[in-house]
Amino acid sequence: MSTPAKIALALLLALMATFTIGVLSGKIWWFSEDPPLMVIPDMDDQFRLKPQGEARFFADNRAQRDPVEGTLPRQGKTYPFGMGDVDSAEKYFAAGNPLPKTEYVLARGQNRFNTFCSPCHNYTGTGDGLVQQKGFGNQVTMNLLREEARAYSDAKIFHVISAGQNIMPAYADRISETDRWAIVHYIRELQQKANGGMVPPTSNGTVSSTQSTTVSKRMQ
Amino acid sequence: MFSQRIDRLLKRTILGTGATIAVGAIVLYFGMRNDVTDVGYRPQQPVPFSHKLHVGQLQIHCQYCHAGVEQSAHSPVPTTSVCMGCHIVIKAESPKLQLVRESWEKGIPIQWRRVHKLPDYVHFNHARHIRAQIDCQSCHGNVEIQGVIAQNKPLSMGWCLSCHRNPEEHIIPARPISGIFTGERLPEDFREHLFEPINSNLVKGVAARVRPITSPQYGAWETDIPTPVIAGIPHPKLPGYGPENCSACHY
Ligand code: HEC
Ligand code: HEC
Ligand code: HEC
Ligand code: HEC
Ligand code: HEC
Ligand code: HEC
Repeated sequence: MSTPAKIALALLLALMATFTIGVLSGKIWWFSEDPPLMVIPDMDDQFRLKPQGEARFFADNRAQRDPVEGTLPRQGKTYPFGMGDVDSAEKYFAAGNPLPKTEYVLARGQNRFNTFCSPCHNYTGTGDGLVQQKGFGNQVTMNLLREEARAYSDAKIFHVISAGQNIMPAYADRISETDRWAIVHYIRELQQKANGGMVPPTSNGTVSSTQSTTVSKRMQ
Repeated sequence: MFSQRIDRLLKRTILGTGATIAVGAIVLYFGMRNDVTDVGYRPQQPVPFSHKLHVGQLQIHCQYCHAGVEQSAHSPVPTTSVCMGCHIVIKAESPKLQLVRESWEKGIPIQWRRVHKLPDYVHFNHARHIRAQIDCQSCHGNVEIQGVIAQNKPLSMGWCLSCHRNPEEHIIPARPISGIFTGERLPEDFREHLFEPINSNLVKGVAARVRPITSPQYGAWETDIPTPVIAGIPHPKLPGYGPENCSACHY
């Protein structure tokens, strides 16, 4: 063999070796639509029902069953009022927000508000989130900072989150009751901030709940 | 013993067989590892749903759709009603969403194809990791730039343990886009840093926080668990080391 040929061969072999080592060590990989290769399946797939899995036993193939009709969960409550039934909700939650308005609750409120409400209502509550801008077209997401919304009772906001309003979806299944009240606190704070800080924070950095109820009463 | 020719042939056969077996063993041993077989698994989903559009561009937080990851072991894939919350109005005529609308009308779930799957004899718990403020990105990669979800990490036992032993090297602290609760408010300018860790010092000084439990178990650790401030709000904690003893994951 001539020298150039030998060099070429050596290079080729080195390349192949690098590639093989790269693949075998997991450094080189590519996308694949085929399910992962299983040489020895062990007990990887056991015969049991899995969350969100399939169960051929049932007619609709769902492993996750709905609760039997007429039963109630031991923990947590299902939200009792339908969309638009604001009056009953206001009567039922007349006591207002059960959570104290502490920095911790507001932090939680911000976290949940950013997660669940910001796509449409924006991080500030102004109602021009990215989904609103890109998708809703002429369907308007309400501005939570406007005068009318500032006058809503806590119970009404809680009700809208839990049961939805027109095209706004209901969130009772995804946000726990405690978290929904935390969101209400946070919306109240956003409204106060936008309104030039109607309620000053007390010296220890928290806003007392009596003050915020007086505000909402005065605004009604 | 034999003639020279047969002798040579015999030697070559033995050598050849040995080499074949050795190469085969190396390929099987290394090639069967999860980072060779599993990483890059990217099945085509029934609906052309894109995380790149919904997370990357529309900035919908992970927990909007994968709600419950904070409380449960399993991180649910969203139900049809979650999609329809928006798509009842948005792109209501789109042919790409035909299956979603059918599923909504008939009440039949969409059959998403599962990507990440541990063997059934391993018990993994999302809630525990999320409450330690570990971002989804540490284990699922950059989901927000993926059009179709692919498996990004090997999900092998060695991978789990390497993070449990050296959390500093593997953990990406919670980012705002994941919707992970850190117990504190976000900084004022968080909107410019949605895709960056909130508190990049989170994983520093783990060793000072943990106390090993030597008996009755080996390879288990204890860290301070803050008392819940408000009942019903899952309280975040600082990450410690993960467990190394077998019964933590295999039971
Ligand atoms: C999918 C987009 C979307 C999301 C997400 C969303 N909303 Fe809404 N919201 C709307 C729309 C649209 C309206 C206006 C409904 C109407 O036309 O009556 C609305 C109305 C409201 C109202 C009533 C305002 C008024 O003046 O009548 C409140 C309060 C409200 N939303 C709070 C929230 C909270 C809190 C969250 C988070 C848990 C949230 N919304 C999440 C779309 C959304
Ligand atoms: C708009 C809703 C939505 C949002 C927001 C969303 N996802 Fe998803 N996610 C889905 C749907 C639907 C699927 C199932 C289809 C698929 O695999 O592509 C899914 C699948 C996944 C899977 C694969 C599950 C499996 O089968 O193994 C992972 C991992 C995941 N999402 C992580 C994330 C992370 C991390 C974020 C935030 C950065 C996020 N998702 C945000 C809707 C969403
Ligand atoms: C918070 C609102 C929201 C949720 C929830 C949501 N989407 Fe979307 N989706 C959008 C918006 C807005 C667009 C359109 C963006 C644009 O105009 O380019 C879109 C676009 C799409 C498209 C592309 C449609 C087309 O014709 O180009 C698909 C497919 C899609 N979504 C699937 C889903 C699925 C499946 C789910 C449920 C897991 C879901 N979406 C949940 C807001 C949402
Ligand atoms: C410590 C690593 C880790 C973190 C952090 C993590 N995941 Fe996972 N995820 C996994 C593993 C492992 C699986 C496979 C679980 C199984 O097969 O039982 C998985 C599975 C999933 C699935 C498929 C459904 C399921 O449970 O099998 C979804 C969806 C998902 N993760 C979303 C998320 C989201 C959203 C986040 C962030 C809020 C997140 N994950 C954070 C490791 C992680
Ligand atoms: C990115 C780093 C990381 C990865 C990857 C990871 N873990 Fe963990 N894990 C942790 C940390 C940190 C803790 C300790 C959390 C704490 O301090 O509360 C933990 C805790 C645990 C626990 C203890 C839960 C309990 O109740 O005691 C289990 C079980 C566990 N992990 C299983 C797994 C499995 C199985 C995998 C692989 C599929 C995995 N982890 C991958 C970081 C990780
Ligand atoms: C952090 C969680 C974790 C701990 C702790 C752990 N394992 Fe595992 N183990 C896993 C995971 C994840 C897999 C699945 C790997 C895969 O998909 O191939 C596994 C797989 C296995 C397998 C099957 C391997 C195969 O491919 O057939 C054995 C055997 C095993 N583990 C034994 C042990 C023993 C013994 C210990 C204690 C020294 C232990 N494990 C501790 C997570 C763990």
